[in-house]
Amino acid sequence: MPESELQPRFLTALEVLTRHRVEFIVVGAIAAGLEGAIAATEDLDFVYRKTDENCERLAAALEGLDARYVDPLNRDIRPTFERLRDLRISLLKTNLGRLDALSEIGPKWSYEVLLPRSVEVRLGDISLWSLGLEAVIEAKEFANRPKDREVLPLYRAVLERRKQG
Amino acid sequence: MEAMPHESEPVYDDEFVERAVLDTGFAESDLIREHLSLPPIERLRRLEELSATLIILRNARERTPA
Repeated sequence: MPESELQPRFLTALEVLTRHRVEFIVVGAIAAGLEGAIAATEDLDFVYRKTDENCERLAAALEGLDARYVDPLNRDIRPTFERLRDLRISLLKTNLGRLDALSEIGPKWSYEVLLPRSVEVRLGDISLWSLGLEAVIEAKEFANRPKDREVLPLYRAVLERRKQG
Repeated sequence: MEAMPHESEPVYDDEFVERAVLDTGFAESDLIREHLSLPPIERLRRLEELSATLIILRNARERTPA
């Protein structure tokens, strides 16, 4: 695919979140990719810190992305401060594609639980937290959906290679 | 009689898409080594490229008559 046709939507979404000073940790396939385990994904998943201030900032960032909940009835439901504060999972479609805003993953892993298992990553002008590959694997093992099982062999192989140095 | 796709149109079936994902996403060991040697911004760029390809293939499959 010619490079000119590719819009860096994940990077742009991460820049928007960072610009709004949202406290978040990238998880899932993007986190694995940042650790070198690169596999295709359709959505950007992140865990946000569930404080009132942060939910306000996240709601503002998502408004800028024209975010709406994925809804089988195609209703126009927006991620407000209250919804982000009260819901555990917000599956969203935005003008940059699919985005999953989560207040926890796996066995009740919140932002505070995940932060010590995350690495700080520099992407151009921005710096953000991204879940380490070992924890991504544990989360995928816990979720254990077909799409999780599909990528685990690659993730484990990359982790093994990293351990070998 | 069942409608056939136009001869010049590519046909993207499940097997084609799965093969494409496997070929590009589930890397051989040399590709893993290459990805690990890249800086994070370049890893993300590769992931974006791969993901965009997946979406194009899925959309094409949805448009292709069964």
